[in-house]
Amino acid sequence: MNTTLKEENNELVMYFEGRLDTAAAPEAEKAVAPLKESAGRNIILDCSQLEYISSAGLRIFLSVLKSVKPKGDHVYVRGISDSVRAVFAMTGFINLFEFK
Amino acid sequence: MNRVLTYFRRKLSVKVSLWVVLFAAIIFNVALGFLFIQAREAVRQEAISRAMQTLDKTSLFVESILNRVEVATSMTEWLVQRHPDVADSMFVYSRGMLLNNPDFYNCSIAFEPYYFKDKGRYFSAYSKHIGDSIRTIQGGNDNYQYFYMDWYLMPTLLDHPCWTEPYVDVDVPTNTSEMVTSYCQAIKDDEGHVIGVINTGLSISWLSQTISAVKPYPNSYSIMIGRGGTYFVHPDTTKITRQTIFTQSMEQPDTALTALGHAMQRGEEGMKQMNMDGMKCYVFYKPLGKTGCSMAIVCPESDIFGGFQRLRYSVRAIVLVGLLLMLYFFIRIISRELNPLQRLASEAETIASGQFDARLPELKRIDEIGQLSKSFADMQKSLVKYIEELKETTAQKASIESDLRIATGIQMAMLPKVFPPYPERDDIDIYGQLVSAKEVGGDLFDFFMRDEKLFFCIGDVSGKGVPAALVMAVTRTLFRAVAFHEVMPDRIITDMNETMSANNESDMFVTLFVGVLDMPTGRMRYCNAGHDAPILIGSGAGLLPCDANIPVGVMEGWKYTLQETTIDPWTTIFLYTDGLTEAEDIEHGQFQEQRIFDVIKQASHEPKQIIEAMTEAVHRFVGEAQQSDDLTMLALQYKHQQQNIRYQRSITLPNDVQTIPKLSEFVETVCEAAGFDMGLSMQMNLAIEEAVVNVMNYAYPKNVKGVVSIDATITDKELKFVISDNGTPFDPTTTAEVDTNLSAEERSIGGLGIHLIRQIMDSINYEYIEGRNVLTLVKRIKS
Amino acid sequence: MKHTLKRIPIVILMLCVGMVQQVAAQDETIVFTPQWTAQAQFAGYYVAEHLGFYREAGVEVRIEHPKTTQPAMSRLRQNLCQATTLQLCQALEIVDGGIPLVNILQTSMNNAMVIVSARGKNPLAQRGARVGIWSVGFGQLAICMNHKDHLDYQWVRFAQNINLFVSGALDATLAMSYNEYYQLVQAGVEMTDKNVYRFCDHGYNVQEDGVYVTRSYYEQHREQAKKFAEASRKGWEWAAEHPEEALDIVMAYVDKDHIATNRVMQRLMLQEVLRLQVDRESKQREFRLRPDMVELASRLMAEYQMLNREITYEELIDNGK
Repeated sequence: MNTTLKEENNELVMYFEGRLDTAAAPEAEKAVAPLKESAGRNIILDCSQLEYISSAGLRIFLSVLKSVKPKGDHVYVRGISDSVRAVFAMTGFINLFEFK
Repeated sequence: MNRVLTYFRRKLSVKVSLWVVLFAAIIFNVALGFLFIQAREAVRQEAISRAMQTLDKTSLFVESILNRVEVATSMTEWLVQRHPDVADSMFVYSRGMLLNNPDFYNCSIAFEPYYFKDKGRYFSAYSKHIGDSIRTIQGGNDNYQYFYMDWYLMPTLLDHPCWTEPYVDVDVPTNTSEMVTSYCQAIKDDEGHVIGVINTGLSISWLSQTISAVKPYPNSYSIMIGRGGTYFVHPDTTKITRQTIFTQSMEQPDTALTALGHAMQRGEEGMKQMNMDGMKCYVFYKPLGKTGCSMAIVCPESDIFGGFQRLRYSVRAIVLVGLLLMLYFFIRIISRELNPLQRLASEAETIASGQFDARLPELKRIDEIGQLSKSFADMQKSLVKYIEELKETTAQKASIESDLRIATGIQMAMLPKVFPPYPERDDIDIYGQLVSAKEVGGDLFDFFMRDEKLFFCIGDVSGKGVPAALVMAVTRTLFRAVAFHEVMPDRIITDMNETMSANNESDMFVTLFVGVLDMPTGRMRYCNAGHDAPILIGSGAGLLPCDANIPVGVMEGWKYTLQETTIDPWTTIFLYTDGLTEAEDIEHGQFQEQRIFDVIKQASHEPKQIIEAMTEAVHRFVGEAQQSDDLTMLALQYKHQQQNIRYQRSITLPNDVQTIPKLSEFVETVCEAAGFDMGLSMQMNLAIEEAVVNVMNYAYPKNVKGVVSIDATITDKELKFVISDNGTPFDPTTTAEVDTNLSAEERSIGGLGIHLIRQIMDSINYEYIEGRNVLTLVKRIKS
Repeated sequence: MKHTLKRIPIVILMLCVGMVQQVAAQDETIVFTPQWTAQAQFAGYYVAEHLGFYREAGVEVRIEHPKTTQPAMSRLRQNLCQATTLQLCQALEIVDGGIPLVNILQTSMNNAMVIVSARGKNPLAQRGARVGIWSVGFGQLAICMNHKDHLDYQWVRFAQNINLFVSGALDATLAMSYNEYYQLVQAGVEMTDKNVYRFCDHGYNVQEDGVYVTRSYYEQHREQAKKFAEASRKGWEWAAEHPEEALDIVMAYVDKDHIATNRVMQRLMLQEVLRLQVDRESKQREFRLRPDMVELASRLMAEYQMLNREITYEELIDNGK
C-alpha cells in the first residue's frame, strides 16, 4: 500500500493507494502521524485509489478524526469506491466523516 | 278428560269443596239409605197388614151371608128328615126357604130315584125367585137327571154338606142367566142312608161386586177362584168362568202363579211376592169359608211403594240439589278466602321476572294467608339485597375474567407459536405445544437460534394460575435476556437463579431445563434444574442423563452443573413437563413414564408427529377427567445435513499480520471458485481478515508463535470458512456489539472487527473443540 | 063369494106346493148336530161350513148344537137332525138297540179315553175305588177293563164337568185325552205317568168319533150324505194344515154360543183331536172305520153283556144297497 502526503489549497491531503489491510496498517499508522499533529488545516483523505480497507485501516482513519476534530479542522474523505463506501456504511463511519 | 282433571288439580277451592261434598254425600247416602230401608220395611208391613185386614173383613162379610144359607139349609133338612113321607110338603119346604130368605136364589129338595113310588123316577121340589114371585116346580126329568149333578153327588159322596163350584144358571123361560153357587146337604133316613139332597142356591153376583170393590190401592185388583181354579171374579171379565188360574201356565209355565193357585186351592191364607202381568206384585189370599173358593188381592208394588218411591226420589233430589249448591257455595267461599293467594302468586311471578320492587298486596289478615304474605314481603327485601350484591360480584368477576383473558393472550404470545420456526434450515425440526389447565399457566418453553447455536429451554413453575403465570413470564424474559450474552447453560441458569432467588418473596420456584445445541457439530451443552430429564430418541429411546440440580429460584448461590453430550444426526430430543407424566384419568391413575416410551415406540421421530401422538395418547388416557395440569411438550430433531462439497481449500498462517496478503489471495481464489463477484469477494476478504487478525492478535500470548488454520468449503448452498487455532480459548461471539451510532468522540477503537464479520457473514459460530478454538463463518450462496 | 071360493083351491094348491117345497127343501138340508156344545172337537165341520166346502159340494148343511134338554141322540131319534157324531161303542149299542146306523165319515183313528187318579195314585192299584163315568153312556171299554182286571170300581155316574173329581169326592175319573184331561190340568191337577192310565196303550185302542146317519136316511139321501162326508173330510184336512186358522174359526163358534172355555183349552183340544186322527200303524189320516177295531169292541162289549150280539163291520158301512 502506498501513501502520499500532499498539501493542496492549504489542506493536507493523504493519498491512499492499494489495500489498507491489517498488514499495511502499521506503516499507514506512521504515515498519518503528521496529519494528527497538524492544526489549522483541513485534512483530506483521498481514497480514489484505495481498493480495500479493513478495520485496522478504519481505526487509523478514526484516530486521525479524533485528533483533528477537536482542533476545529475538518477531515474529508475523498473519492471512495463503492465497496469502500459499503464498509464505511456497515461500520457507521459514514456518519463520522465528511465526504467530497 | 285430562283437561278436566288438570283443572281440578289446579283449583284448591274446587278440590276441597269436592272432598267436602263427597263426604257429605257419603254420609247422606248412608243415613238416607238406612232410613229408606227402614221406612220401606215399615211401609211394606203396613201394606201387608192393611191388605190382610181388608181380606179378613171381606171374608167375614162373605162368610156371614154364606152362613145364613148353611143354617137355613140345615134347618130345612131337619124339617124334611122329620117328615120324609109326604112328597108334596117338599114343595112347601122349598118354597118356604125362599120366602124366608128373599136373597136366596133357588132351592131344590131332590130324592133318590123312585123314592116316592107314585112320583116316578124323578122327584125334585124346585123353587126359584122369579121377579117378585116364587116359582115352584118338579124339576127332575129325562133331560135333567139330577142324580148325576154335582150338587146331588157331592154331599152324598163326601158324606158332608158342601158348597158347589159356582156355575151359570140359565133360566130358559125368562132367558136370564145368573152366577150361582149352591149349598147342598144330604137328607138321610133314620138308618143313615141317603134318601135325597137339599140344595140351596145363592146368587154370587153380589159376591163378585163385593170382591171386585176391594181395592186398597189404585192399581190393585181382586180375584176369586173356585176349587178348580176357575176365575169367578177377575178384572178381565173375559176370563170369568172361561179360564182358570192355571190356564196361562199351560202355554207359558209360570211357577209362581201355579204355586199361588195350588195354595189357594188348598184353602191356605197368606201373602206371596210375585210377578203378575210383568209387574212385581204382592198377592194376599184367603179362602172364603167352606165354599172351596178363595179370594186374592193383587197389589202392584209400584202402588204400595208408590208414595214411598216418590218420597225417596224427592228426598234424593233435594239432597242432590243441596249438595250441588253446597259445592257451588263452598267453591265460591274458599275461592274468596284464597283470593289473596292468587294475587300473591301473580306478584311473585312479577318479582320472578326480574322486577324486584313489585309491590306485594298488603293484607290485614293475621291468619295463615296473612303470615304467608308477610314472609313473602321479607323474602322480597332479602332478594333485592342479594341481587345487588350478586350484581357487584358478577361485575368484578367479569372484570377479572376479562383481565385474565388478556393475560392469557400475553402469556401465549411469549411462547413460540410459529412452526416450523426455521423452515429454511434443513438441519433442525422443531415442534412445541402448550395446553394450559387454566386460562393462564405456569409451564413454559422457549428456543432461539444465535450464531448457529440453538438455545432451548423447558420449565414448570410451581403452582398454577395467575401467580404461576407471572413467574413464568419473568422466567422466560430472564432466559432470553441472559442467554443473549451467555452461551453456557449452567451460567444461564445460575444467572437466572441469582435474580429470581433474590426477589422471591412468594417462595415460588421453577424447574428448568436449558440446552444449547451447536448446529454444525451436534454438540449439546445442557443444565437441568430439577426438571424431568428429556428423552433422546434415536435408534432407541432413553433418558438423557441429568444431574440433580435444584429448581431455579429456591436458593441463591447454588452451583449448577454443566453437562455435555453429542447429539447424533437424526436424533430427536423430547422435552416435557410433569403435566404429561402426571396426567390423571377419572380414577386418579397417572399417565407415567412408561406410556411415554410406548408412544415413542409407535410414533415416527418427527417432532410434530410425536407430540401429536403423545397428545392423543394422553387424551385417550385422561378420558372424561378434567385436565389437572399444563401439558407442555417440545421436540427437536437434529437432522443430518447432506452437503455436497464442491470445493475445499485450506491455508495455515502463522500469527503474523503481515501474512494477511496471502490470506487475501486465498480468499480471492476461494470466492472466485464460489462464483462471487468482485464486491462480494472483497467483503468476504474483509470478514476473513478481521477474524484471522483477531486470532493472530489475541489467541496466543505475546511473543508466542502460533498458527491459525483457515479451511474453506464450498457446497451447493454455502461458502464456509473455518478459522481455527489452538491458542487461548476465546469466544469472539460474546463480544458486545458496537454501537455504530455513537459520535466519533464516543466511538471506541475496538470491536469493529466482529461487527463487520456479523454484517458480512450470514452466520458466525464459535466452538471450542478438543483444545482448539473453532470459528465458523458461513456465507450462503445465492443461486 | 065365487071369487073367494075359486081362490081357495089355488091357495090350498099353493100351500101344498109350498109344503112339498119345504119338505123337499127339508130333504135337501142336512142338519148336523155334533155330540156336544161348540168346541174344537168338531173343528173340521166348522171349517167346512165357514169356508164354504159344503156349498161347493152342493149340499145344504146346518150345524145345530144340542142343549141340556135336547141331547144329540134324542135329536137324531126325533129327526131334528140328520147326522150326528157318535163314538164307535155308542154306535154299536144303538145298532144293537135296533136303530141301524151308517158311518159316513170316521174321524178318530185312536182311542182317547184315560183314567186319571187323584192324589197321584196308580189307577190299576186302586181296587174298589170310586171312579167317575159319564152318565150319557161312554166308557164301555172302561167297564170291560174293570171286569177283566177285577178292579171292582164303584162307578159314579156324573153328568158333566170335573167338579166332582176336583172337590175330592172321587178317587179317579174317566176323561177324554182331548177334553176332560186338559180341564183337569187347567184345574191344577198334576199329571204323571203313574196316575194316568191310557186305554189305547193297554190293548183297548178302539176308534171313537165318527159321523153317523140312520140307515133309512142314508138309503134315501146317499148322494147328500156322501157329499156331506166328503166336504167334512176336506174341512178336517184343511184344519190339519192350518191349525191356527182353524182355531180362529172354532173360537168364533165358541164365542157365538157363549161357551165357557178359552183359546188355550181349545188349542190343546184341537191338537189332540188332530193327533188322534192319525192311524198308529199307517201314520196317515185314514178317515175310515177299521174292521179290526169294530170286531174288538164288539167282542168285548158282547162279552161283558153290553151288547146282545156282536155287531159286524158291515152293519156300520155303506153296503151298496
